[in-house]
Amino acid sequence: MPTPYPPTKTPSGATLSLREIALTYSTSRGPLPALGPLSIDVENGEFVAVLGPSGCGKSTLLKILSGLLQPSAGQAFLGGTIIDKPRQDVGIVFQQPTLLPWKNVRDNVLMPVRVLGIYSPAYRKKADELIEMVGLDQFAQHYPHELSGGMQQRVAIARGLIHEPKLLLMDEPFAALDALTREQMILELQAIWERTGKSVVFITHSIPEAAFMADRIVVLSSRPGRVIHIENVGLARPRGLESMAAPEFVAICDRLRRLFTVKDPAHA
Amino acid sequence: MRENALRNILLPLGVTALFIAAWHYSIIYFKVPNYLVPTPWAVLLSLKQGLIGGVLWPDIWATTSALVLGYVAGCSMALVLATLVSEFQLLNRAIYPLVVAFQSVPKVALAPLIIVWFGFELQSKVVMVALICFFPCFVNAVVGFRSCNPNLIDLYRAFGASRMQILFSVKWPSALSTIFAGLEISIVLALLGAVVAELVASRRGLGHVIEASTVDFNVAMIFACVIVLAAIGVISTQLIMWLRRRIAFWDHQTTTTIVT
Ligand SMILES: Nc1ncnc2c1ncn2[C@@H]1O[C@H](COP(=O)(O)OP(=O)(O)OP(=O)(O)O)[C@@H](O)[C@H]1O
Ligand SMILES: [Mg+2]
Repeated sequence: MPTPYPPTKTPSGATLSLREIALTYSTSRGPLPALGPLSIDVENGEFVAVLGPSGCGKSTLLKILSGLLQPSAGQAFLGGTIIDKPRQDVGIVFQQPTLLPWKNVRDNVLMPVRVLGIYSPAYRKKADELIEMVGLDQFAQHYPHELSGGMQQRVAIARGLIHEPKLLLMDEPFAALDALTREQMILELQAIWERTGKSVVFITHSIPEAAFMADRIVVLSSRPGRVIHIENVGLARPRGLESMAAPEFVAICDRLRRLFTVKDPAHA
Repeated sequence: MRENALRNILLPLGVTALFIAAWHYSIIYFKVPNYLVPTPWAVLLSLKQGLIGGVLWPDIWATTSALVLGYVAGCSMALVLATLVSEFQLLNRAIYPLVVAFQSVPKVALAPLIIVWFGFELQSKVVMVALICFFPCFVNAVVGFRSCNPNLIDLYRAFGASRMQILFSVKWPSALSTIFAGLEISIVLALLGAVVAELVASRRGLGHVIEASTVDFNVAMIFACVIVLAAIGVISTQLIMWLRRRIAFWDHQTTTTIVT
């Protein structure tokens, strides 16, 4: 089947390229347009945050990117090839930790490589390194119910990295955490990203979270989500918590916040 | 901790002692004839005759073998069918409503029919037990499979897991604690089913001994059988709960009791 945007047409260097993708759910009450059409490019090694109101289709977008859902229109490309099924080179972190309760931390982290059938003893060492990286080296043998929510989420992040994906997809990974843990996790994720140099698509509805971590923020409208604004965040890296007080940071947050209040008459 | 354990053991023991004393003195005080209510001493003698004298062992064996065979058969059929129903939507639509409808039928009412079909020996008892075990086990397993975290399934799909892999690596372990809840209900009902089948018609088993003892007014023996049955019930329930703690160790609800 000829595609209107063959791999050669994807922008050079872009890891991820979305071309006019849209998704409509068919429900018992008829078709429900959940997303798009929208186009987004994510450059190699870029950290892109997707910001949008609740129900605008952010999780739907992530499912398309991970190959779990097929868009009703348009195409998504990863590394030049179309995403038409779940792919090995993508790591996913859901909003909830989503760990296997009957496996300990190390086995949870190793789960992707076991399912992919590429397990080798080398991955065991890699898992231990990742567990150490997220600060859980004392807990490799513990079971999820013995960990706090924040620790579980860190396990999920380590699991998302075990098979060395080119692209890391994160769906509001810190939404369930308290403010303190959240801040700590944001710093940790930034450090991980700087160390590993992956492309990241980070879904959130927290404006400061997006502004703090991202190179670029894609703002979506309410359902069906379309791109209404793209914000380039020029803040110097690495960013510490003090950069949240920088006038530039405050200005970005302000600009983004105004975008939502204008859209939403309830807040006007 | 220690004080707690002491209270957990001493308190029920004290209540039991009080109960036996009340039992003993009421018989004397109200002059209850021995063929209606036996003295605790007579029950103890019957127990001794049955367990140490060995009179009851063949019947205990008959009841427990029917219990175990029927339980294993009924529960495994329930688990297999529940797995199929949760995997195949069509089967779910076809079977699940029927099972739920049939669940409300009092299965013990079918005992005479089962005896007509399967005879007076072990088979009819096993069938009765299996039938009675099936429903709670099936319904709990289906609920367990349904309540599996969809994100976990998505996660497995994202890594290209096959349907079989998802079934055995995600759905089954997720359903385990609910399945065990069903197994705990089933074991209690299973004993009931075995005794009912024996009461209605059988030449062996504790239910049969109870039945035969009513004929010659041996109430002490009836009491002894009930005590043995209670012991079998407690032991088998504890066994299932122990298995649950071993196998579904991550589940925090292991200590909750189930109301049937
Ligand atoms: N499986 C589905 N079937 C039908 N409709 C769905 C399905 N999943 C989501 N939707 C609908 O699609 C829309 C977008 O859902 P989605 O979960 O992508 O939103 P979201 O942006 O992630 O929201 P939130 O920020 O609250 O997580 C919602 O209106 C939702 O009702
Ligand atoms: Mg969402």
